Amino acid sequence: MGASILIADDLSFMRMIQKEILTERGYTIAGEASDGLEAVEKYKALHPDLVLLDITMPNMNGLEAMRKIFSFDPRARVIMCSALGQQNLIVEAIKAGVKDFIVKPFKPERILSAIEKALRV
Amino acid sequence: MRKRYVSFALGEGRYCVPVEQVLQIMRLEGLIEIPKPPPFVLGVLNLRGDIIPVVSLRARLELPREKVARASPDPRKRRVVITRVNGKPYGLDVDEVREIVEIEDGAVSTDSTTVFGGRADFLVGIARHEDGLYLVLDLPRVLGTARDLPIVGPPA
Amino acid sequence: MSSPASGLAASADDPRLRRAFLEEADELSQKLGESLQALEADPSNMDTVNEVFRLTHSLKSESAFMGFARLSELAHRMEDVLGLVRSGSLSLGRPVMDAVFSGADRIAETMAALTKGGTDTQFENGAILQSLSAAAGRRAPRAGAAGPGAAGPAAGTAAAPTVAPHPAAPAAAVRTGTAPADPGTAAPGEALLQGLGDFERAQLAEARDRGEECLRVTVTVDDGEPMKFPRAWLVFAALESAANVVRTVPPLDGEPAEDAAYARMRFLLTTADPEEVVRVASGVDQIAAVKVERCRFDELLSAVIAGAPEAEAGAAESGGEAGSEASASAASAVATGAGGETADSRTPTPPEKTSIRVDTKKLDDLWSLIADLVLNKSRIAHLSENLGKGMDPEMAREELAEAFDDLDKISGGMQQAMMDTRMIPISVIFNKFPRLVRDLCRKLGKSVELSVSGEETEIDRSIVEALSDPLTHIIRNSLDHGIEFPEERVRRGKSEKGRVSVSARRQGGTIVIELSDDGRGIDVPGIRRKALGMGISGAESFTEAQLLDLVFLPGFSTKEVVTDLSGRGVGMDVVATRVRRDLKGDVALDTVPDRGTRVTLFLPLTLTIVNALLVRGGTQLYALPLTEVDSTAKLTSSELRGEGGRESAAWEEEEIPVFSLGVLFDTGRRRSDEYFALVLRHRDRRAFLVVDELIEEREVVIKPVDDLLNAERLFSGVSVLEDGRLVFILDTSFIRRENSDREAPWAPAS
Repeated sequence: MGASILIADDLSFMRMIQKEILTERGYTIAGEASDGLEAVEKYKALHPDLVLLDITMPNMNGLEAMRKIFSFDPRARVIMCSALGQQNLIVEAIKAGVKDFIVKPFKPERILSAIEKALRV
Repeated sequence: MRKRYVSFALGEGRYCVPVEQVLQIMRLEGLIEIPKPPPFVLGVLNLRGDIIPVVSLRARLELPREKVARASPDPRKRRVVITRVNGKPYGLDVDEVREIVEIEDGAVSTDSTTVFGGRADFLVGIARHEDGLYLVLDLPRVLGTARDLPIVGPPA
Repeated sequence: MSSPASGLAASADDPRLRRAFLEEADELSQKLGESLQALEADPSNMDTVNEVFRLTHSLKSESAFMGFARLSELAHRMEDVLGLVRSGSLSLGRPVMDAVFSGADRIAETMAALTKGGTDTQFENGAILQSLSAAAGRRAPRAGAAGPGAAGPAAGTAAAPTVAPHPAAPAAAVRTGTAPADPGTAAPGEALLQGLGDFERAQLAEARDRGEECLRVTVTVDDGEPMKFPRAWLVFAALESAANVVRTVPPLDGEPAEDAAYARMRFLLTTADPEEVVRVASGVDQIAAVKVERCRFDELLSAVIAGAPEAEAGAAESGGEAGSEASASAASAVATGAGGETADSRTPTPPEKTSIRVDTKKLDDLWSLIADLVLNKSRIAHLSENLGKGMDPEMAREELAEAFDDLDKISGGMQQAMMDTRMIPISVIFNKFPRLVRDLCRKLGKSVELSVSGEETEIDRSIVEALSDPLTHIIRNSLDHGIEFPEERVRRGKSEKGRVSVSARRQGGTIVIELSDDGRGIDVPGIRRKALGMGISGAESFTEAQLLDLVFLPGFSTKEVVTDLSGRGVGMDVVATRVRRDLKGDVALDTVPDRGTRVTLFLPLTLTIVNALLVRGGTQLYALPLTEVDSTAKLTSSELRGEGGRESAAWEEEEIPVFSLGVLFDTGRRRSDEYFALVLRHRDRRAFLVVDELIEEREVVIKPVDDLLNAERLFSGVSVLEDGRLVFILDTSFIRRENSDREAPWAPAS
């Protein structure tokens, strides 16, 4: 489809995997970020169609980064990646407007299906 | 700036309080006595679970006896004005509730309060209006506790 | 918990991924070794601790992704241990360091094997895992772990040390969930459509009058979704964007139950666009099934009034499954096992224990108060010993008085601390509003900026649930009827974006919550017209405040009135009832035409309930907290000694003062041969209180008593009985006063 996606995760390995999965499906990687601050900056600069945020990142976690992004783009499409056991953070994220959440470790089909659905709206 | 006030009568005097402070006006019914009330508290009303002290403004303002006797109010017009001060409701026992008046801020003067026969410290001032003089009440003061105890005010 | 190895075989086999993983993980493993050595040299260096934690965390994530379960488990266990060290709950003693080192060694070995092309399955890590757990079990005496919301297994546990956390079950630590969450009991459709409360009914009626449809939506979460509770939330949020969700089963507010309870969610909602509802519900990923059925308003509403379960039959016109749910009996609640339910047919389990999350700082406060208590206790024991050895009784009495004072302070502190554990920040409610506002804006085509403040203000836990609905309703009202459409706003010279603000603050013993908007304001003359039209006497001279107060009257917010007022005020009577009757608070409206409206809620800080003894003095009822009543007694007039306000009598070899309600409250004393009395106790002092009649022991809800009614500070509160009579709760400290000390401050003016 060619939609542009911003990937944010502090683990370069995770970013690499996500990049692989997404580019194979035909999405464009708008950019990568390794912490929340960078994620917000790059979102502002690159205007991606969707952003994948890891919940735990240094300097600013995914939840905060998402709130900041919403403050200048209320229609932002955000998908949150989290580990098992971060239930409360995820619910906070949902209250704040996240489109979906993915629990790590995830199967490629999972992340693709979540992105596809999120892009439809 | 013009502000709106609810006015009421006590004896011959006309008093008023800002509209925002008035919650409700009702007849004095269902008054419940309380043990050893202060001289100006008539009792309380139980309104939907709220215990509302009813204050006799006459007593509280310490109006001189003669002024009161001459007026001879019509008991059918007696009302309780339920006010909210500092988030709490209080009832004021008045002889008659009258009109809503608009008073210019500048028209409220603090000099001539000595003319007033009762507790002048409970007044914000006296307002000149085409319909006459209105005594503007300082409700937070009026409803503060005993003379000698600190008055309950807004939070620090 | 989903098994990492399944379905990821593809990833582990992909040569590019494997290579990348090996490079990264190897580097991590090496750095781990180095950092651990640095840590051994300087165990107190928090930076190194954090580094080691981070490294094990990354190793865990990456190896899990690749499907190397054993490696991941090992790294995870190490991460947990390091997590405890990081938070200060575990000190880096020799046993812990040894365990961590052996863990790191095993990781290095595993990496070596993987690099050679093997797998991690050849490694038996049981012993190492054990030693890591054992090491973690030895905790520092301080209460441990982060506050609520932390992801680790120790989150939310009480201050007392517990057994080592089991890393494989992160959700296991505390919560056993609230009673209704058991998925196996209660025929499913019932809870949704029966027992609708005032709010829900008001919303249904309003929706019906607007011409909306009522739907029952059942959503089944994918089995493979590891976190069903947040998934259910996502569905709820999606539905809210297209409809008004009136009820959710199981409820999503409050403390979540175990995850499996949310596998199947039922929603009762109203909407103007049912197709949109289906669309958004289907738009949520990880959902196995969505079922949408129509319900009939009149049946729902009448069933509530009649209390009959017929609503089930009517509402379940479509779908055989719904029909079988309706026929299940309510009380015995044996699950019907219909369709895709996870029900076993078993009888309802006894109500599950409810548990709550408490900020550990509050538990720490309580802990130190307990410590003080223990100190005080030994001080008194010491004192007792000294007395036995011939200590001067006067000195002893002083010391004892001091000890009692301390005890008083401590117990007061503990009461307060216990109450504090019941307090949670109002942000739990406020946090929903940004999304709500955004969704409503989109739905209605309006533009609104929301500002929230004072969300850290704490309120009693028990109020939270009751408060959430009214506040949400008020915001909806604001957006529905208060804020104008952008074009209209611009035409009126206002900013295109409307403003809604929500704030909370504490004012003495009251919580004040304000919700305001800069919209149309309420048409006050319109209310007056309506009031007159309805024949409300005196309406022509009502003040604005009075007219606005009418909006809270049941029967006033009818459909007819509503259209005139542009819908504002609907459901406000329910808000008023909820706030005034249930929360013992108050609510007020302010408005300025064209400028906006503000709703203010006043809520008491807590509801205090006390066991008390009711007595009569004259025509008035009084209550004494049972904790301050030692005994009841009969006094004969011959036992009284002294006179004129200084009477006393003997009690248990002590001469104590005699008070009477008649004298205290100027209702006169009866002369009699015999008197009913209570023996009151305040700290170390006791006294008789003569009363006219002893009535009964009962629980009373204490409301604060206004200073105006309590000049002599004889009352600690007032209570209203069911029949409307007032009971004044006495503050027993008065027994310390000499009768003559009490002089009315209301000395006459002249």
